[in-house]
Amino acid sequence: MHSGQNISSRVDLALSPLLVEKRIAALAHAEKLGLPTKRLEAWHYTDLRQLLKDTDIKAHQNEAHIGSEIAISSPYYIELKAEEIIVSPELMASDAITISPLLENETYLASIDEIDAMAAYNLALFDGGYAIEIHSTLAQPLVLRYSAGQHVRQKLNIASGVFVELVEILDTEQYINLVMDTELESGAKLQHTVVQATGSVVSLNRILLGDHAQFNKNIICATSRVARHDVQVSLCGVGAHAKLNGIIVAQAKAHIDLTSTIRHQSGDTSSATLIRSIIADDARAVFQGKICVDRDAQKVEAEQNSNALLLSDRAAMNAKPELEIYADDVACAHGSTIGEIDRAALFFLRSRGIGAEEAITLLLQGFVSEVLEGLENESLQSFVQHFLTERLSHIDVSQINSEDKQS
Amino acid sequence: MTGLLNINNLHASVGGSQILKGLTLNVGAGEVHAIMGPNGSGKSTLSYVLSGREGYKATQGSAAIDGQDLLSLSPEERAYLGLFLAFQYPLEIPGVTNMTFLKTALNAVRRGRGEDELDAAQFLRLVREKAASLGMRDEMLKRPLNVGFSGGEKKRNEVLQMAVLEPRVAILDETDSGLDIDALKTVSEGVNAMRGAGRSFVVITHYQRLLDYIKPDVVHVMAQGRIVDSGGPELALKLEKSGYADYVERVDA
Repeated sequence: MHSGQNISSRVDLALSPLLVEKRIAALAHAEKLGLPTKRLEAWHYTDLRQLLKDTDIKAHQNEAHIGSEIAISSPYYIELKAEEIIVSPELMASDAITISPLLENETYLASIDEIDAMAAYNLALFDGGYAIEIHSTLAQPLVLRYSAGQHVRQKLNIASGVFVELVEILDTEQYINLVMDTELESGAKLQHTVVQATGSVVSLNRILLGDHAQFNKNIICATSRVARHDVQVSLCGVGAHAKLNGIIVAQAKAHIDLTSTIRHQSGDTSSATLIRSIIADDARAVFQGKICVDRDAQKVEAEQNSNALLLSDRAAMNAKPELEIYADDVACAHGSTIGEIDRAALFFLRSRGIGAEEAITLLLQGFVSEVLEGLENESLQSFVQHFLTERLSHIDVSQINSEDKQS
Repeated sequence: MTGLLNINNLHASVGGSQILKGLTLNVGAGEVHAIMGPNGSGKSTLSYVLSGREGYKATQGSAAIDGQDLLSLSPEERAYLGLFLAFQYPLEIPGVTNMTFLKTALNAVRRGRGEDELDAAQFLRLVREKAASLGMRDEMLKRPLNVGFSGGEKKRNEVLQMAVLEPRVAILDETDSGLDIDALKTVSEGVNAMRGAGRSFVVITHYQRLLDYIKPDVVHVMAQGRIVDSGGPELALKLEKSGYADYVERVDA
């Protein structure tokens, strides 16, 4: 992306020599690899080099931001803007949480090596982001709002037995490269919801779960540009549970890629993945879901489902479920469907007086609503519901083959 | 031509083959007509052609409610005009609650008929009252439409939709199929409660049994895409004994 420039001139040198060296090495590594292309297995359906060339950088018009009327609010928030980062006074004052700039966290940085080009770019160039440690349960969600493009890295640690709701709002036309390392100590529970409304985002979230820790992640992505959300869950502790829910609403020329790896490293762990994608216009959605069960991880239950609706002849979906199982006493199931609006259901609704357009919207809302039931917080559920209703209302239903067109 | 529902010389094809071959049927306001006939005679096709399902095309003839043409209208416009089809196999729609569906449908129909929409409280009162009269629990209204419903519950739910939407012409397509005797009684009582001077019913069935509960004014026999015989309720009893063989042979001859 910036090739040709001198590498060291692009790395912030006002850091300790160790870190400067680390970041220079990371950038050299990233530059050598370049942006991922489909030659890489993990990026097979998402040629980032091509996609970002096509759609990035140039300001994008008519992108609908999340309206203020459907905002999620909490006294605990961090907002990353172009010029500044705002940390709410309540968050600063809270005893439940400690936050410090991640760039000052030498122990963390010294321990990190990035192999993937995007994560290496991030390591070399990030300047926003925090080490966030949560020691006791927060009464309200922690909201991270990204309103400007940049490389951001967060490190989140949730102490034993603590319950946290984390909401990330990605809503900027600019390009964001996000890395988050999450660690849940034993018995900790995190409900992590990501809503991407606009812009191009490459996001990597690595999660380590201790004994009986619970991780629920909801990814709601409705950008009309490029998105890659990579979730890598390691169920390290006995009794740990991970649940991944995804809703993709891809319109215009959107390219939305949800990639997950759920690794059961310990016995008695369970995971459930449910992805629902609605793809309209010329858009494409990708779901790559991998479940790995290590040799010693017995009594594992893992389930994965991906269902997609294609609304136009040009819309596309790539689904790649993968199971890699080395233990013998496990129950793993996966299913993937790609279909169209159910015409019999559409006729049924219309025969009850519901006009074609309203009937389609109702069917689409029904299609994603099972995923929304996974959101435990009611105000969050209503926020996401409003956001999706608004996005679904943008879908041009005339692209759906109507009976009038066929007859 | 008299009657609320007038079907005249209706021809229709499905997937290129002619199923209805000149069907004529007039149902007066307040009347209940039963249509019986062997498998493949075109009974369900008739219900789909009248309600406007895609792929079911009228090629000749006419169908009207109160003199207003049905065939040129979209399915929803037919509902505004007062047509209702109780489905033989009611669909399951996951993720859409029965309540949301009923409210959306009722308000769409009211808009279509030039009436004011109901607000949430008015709607709730109405739907609870109608559901209670059909012996449906509140919990069934909160569940996704027909998902996990038994055969009887689904049919009851069809009658609830009919009660909420108050059609002028209701077609019941094998509403008795898949019902045990108790469910059959409940569903029939729901239908009978809606009988009245301004509302007509077309009851499509294979069996006389349903007609013990929903007593028809006229019974028609359909074979090979046409009405081939009509009579009083005694015709249904006769068919129960002798079957349809006579009619099939008569048409083939």
